[in-house]
Amino acid sequence: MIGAALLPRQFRLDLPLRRDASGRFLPWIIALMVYLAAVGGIALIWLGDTLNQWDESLTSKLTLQIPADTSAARIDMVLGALRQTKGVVWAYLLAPEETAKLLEPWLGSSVSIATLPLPRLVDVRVDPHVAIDYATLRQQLDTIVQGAQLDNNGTWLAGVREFALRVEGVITAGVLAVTALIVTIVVFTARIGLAIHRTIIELLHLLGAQDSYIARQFQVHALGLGLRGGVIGGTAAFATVVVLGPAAHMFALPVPIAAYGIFDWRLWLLLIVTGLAAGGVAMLTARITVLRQLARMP
Amino acid sequence: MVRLENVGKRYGTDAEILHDISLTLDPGGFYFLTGVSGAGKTTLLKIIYLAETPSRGLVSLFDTDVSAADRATHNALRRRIGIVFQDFRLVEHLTVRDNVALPLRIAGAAEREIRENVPELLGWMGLEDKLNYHPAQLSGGEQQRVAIARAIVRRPDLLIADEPTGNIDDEIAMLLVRIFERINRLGTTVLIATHDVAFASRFSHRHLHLDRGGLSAPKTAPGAPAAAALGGSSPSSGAANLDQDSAPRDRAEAEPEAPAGPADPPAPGDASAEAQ
Ligand SMILES: Nc1ncnc2c1ncn2[C@@H]1O[C@H](COP(=O)(O)OP(=O)(O)OP(=O)(O)O)[C@@H](O)[C@H]1O
Ligand SMILES: [Mg+2]
Repeated sequence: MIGAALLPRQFRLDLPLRRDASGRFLPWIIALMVYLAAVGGIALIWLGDTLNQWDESLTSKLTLQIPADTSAARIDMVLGALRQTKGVVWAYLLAPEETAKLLEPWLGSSVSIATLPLPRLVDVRVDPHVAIDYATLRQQLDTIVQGAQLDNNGTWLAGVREFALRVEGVITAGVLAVTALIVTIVVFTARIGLAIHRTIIELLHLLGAQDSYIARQFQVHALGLGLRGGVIGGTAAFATVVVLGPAAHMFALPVPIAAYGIFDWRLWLLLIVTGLAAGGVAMLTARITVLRQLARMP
Repeated sequence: MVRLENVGKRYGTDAEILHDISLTLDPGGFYFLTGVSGAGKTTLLKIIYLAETPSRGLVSLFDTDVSAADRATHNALRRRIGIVFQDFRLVEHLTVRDNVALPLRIAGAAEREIRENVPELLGWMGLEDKLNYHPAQLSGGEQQRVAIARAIVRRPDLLIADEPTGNIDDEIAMLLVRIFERINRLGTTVLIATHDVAFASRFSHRHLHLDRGGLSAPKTAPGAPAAAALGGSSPSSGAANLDQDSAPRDRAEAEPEAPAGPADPPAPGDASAEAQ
C-alpha cells in the first residue's frame, strides 16, 4: 500500500482487495488463457496467409497431360480450346526436352527420351479470381483428345480450404472458451471478494456509498489483475514466436508461428489486443458481477 | 427532519422488538435515546440510519418517505447522516486519516479538500500525531474519537451515536457530550443512545425513552425535562435546547484531555459533500 496516497482517486481502494489470495493466482490463470488465445490467434493469421498464398500459386497453376501418340494438329486444337476458355491466362506446350528434364530425377539422364513414349505436358495458368467450370472444360478437352488429363489443384484446394475453415472454427471456439473461462473466474473472484469484505462494504453503504463507488474498486482491481495476466501471457506468446520461429526454420518444421517474423505488425497488434482484452473483460465482468450482487443487498 | 409514525419491527416471525414508535426529531435538536439493554435502541437507530427497514409504519427522513425512495436516494440520505457505531467500525487496514476521509471520498469531495480538512479535524480531536496510525495501534478512547471524527467530517444534518458513553469513565463521557453539543450548535441534529438514564438526566436535553420496544416518558430522570418529542406532539419542545450551557459544568470545563483547538469544530467538506 506504499504510495497509495499518490494514486489518482480512481485507483484508490478502500477495500483491501490487493491483499486477497485470489489476487495472487488470478493473473497467472489469465496469463495462461491469454497465452492460449494469442497463440491461437497467431495460428489463425498464419492459416489465412497460407490460404492466400495457395490461392495465388496453386489455383493459378494447372497441368494438362496429353497422351504421347497425339498428333500435332490435335495438340494445337487442345491449345486453342484452352486459350479460348475464359479465365485461362496462358497455355504453354512444353517441348519434349523440357518434359524429359522435368522427369529426369525419376528417369535418370541416361535414358534416351526418343525411345520413351513421353506424354506431352501443357503448362496452364489461370486467373484465380475467375471461376472456371472444370467439368465442362475436361469434357471438351476429352472430345478433342481422348485421354487428356487436366490436373486440377482447385478441387484439392477446396478440400484444404474446408479443412482450414474447420480449424479456424476450432480456434475461434477455443478463444471464446478462454474468454468464457476468464469471465467465470473473475465472477467467482469478485463474489468471493464481496463475501470477504462484506462488513466493509456494509459500512461503505451506511456511509452513503453508491453501488458504483463499491463496484469501481473491484473494477480497478480486476483491471489490474487482467492486465498483469495479459502482459505475462502476451510475453510468453511472444517468446514462443521468438524461440519456435528459428527452431522451426532449422528443422524445416511446418510450425505455424514459425512463419512469423517478430516484426510483423499483426503479431504486435494481436498481442496488444489480447492483453488489453483480458484486462477489459476482467474489469467489465467484475463491475457487472458486483453491481448485480449489490443490488440484492439491502 | 426525522419522523416516525407507528413504526414496528420484528425479525422474521419473532415477537415484535419495537411497536408503535412515533417520534419527531426537529432540526437542530439534541436528543437522548435511553432504555435498558435489549430495549431496542440500536434497532430503532438502525431504522433511522437506514440499516434496517421497519416491518410496519412510516419513516420519513429529511422530508423524504424512505419506503418509497429508491436505492440511490437511500444512499443520498445516508450521506446526510453521521453515525458513531456502538463498536466504532473503523476500517482496520486504513490509517486514521483514511478512515476519517472515507465519508468525504464517498461523497466525491476533492482530494485537496480532504488533505486540508481531515488533519484539521483530527487535530481538533487531539489526534494530530496519530494521522498515519492504524486503528489497532490506538487506545479505545482514541478509536472512539476517530469514529466520531468520521461521523462529523461531512458536517451531517443528523448525527447518531450509539452508546458512545458505554464503557468509558464519567469524565470522558462528559467530554464526549460536550463535543456533540458543539457540533449541535453548528446546526446538526444529534441523537445519542445510552442505557444510562442517570447519565442522560444530567443534561437538559430532550429524552426519548424506550421501554420494552415502546416509547414512553423516562421514569428515572429527576430534574431533567421529561418533555420528549413523543409522537411529534410537542414541536415547541425545542426550547429546551437553547439552554444547553446550563448543563452541569462542575467538571466538564476542567477535562485534562479536553481537545485543544478552536471552540467550534472546523467545517470540513460541507458543500461538496452533498454532491449526489
Ligand atoms: N438481527 C436480529 N435478529 C433477531 N433479533 C434481533 C436482531 N437484532 C436485534 N435483535 C433483538 O432485538 C432486541 C433489541 O436489540 P437492540 O440491539 O436494539 O437493543 P439495545 O437497546 O440496543 O441494547 P444494548 O443497550 O444492549 O445495545 C434484542 O432482544 C435482540 O435480541
Ligand atoms: Mg445497542
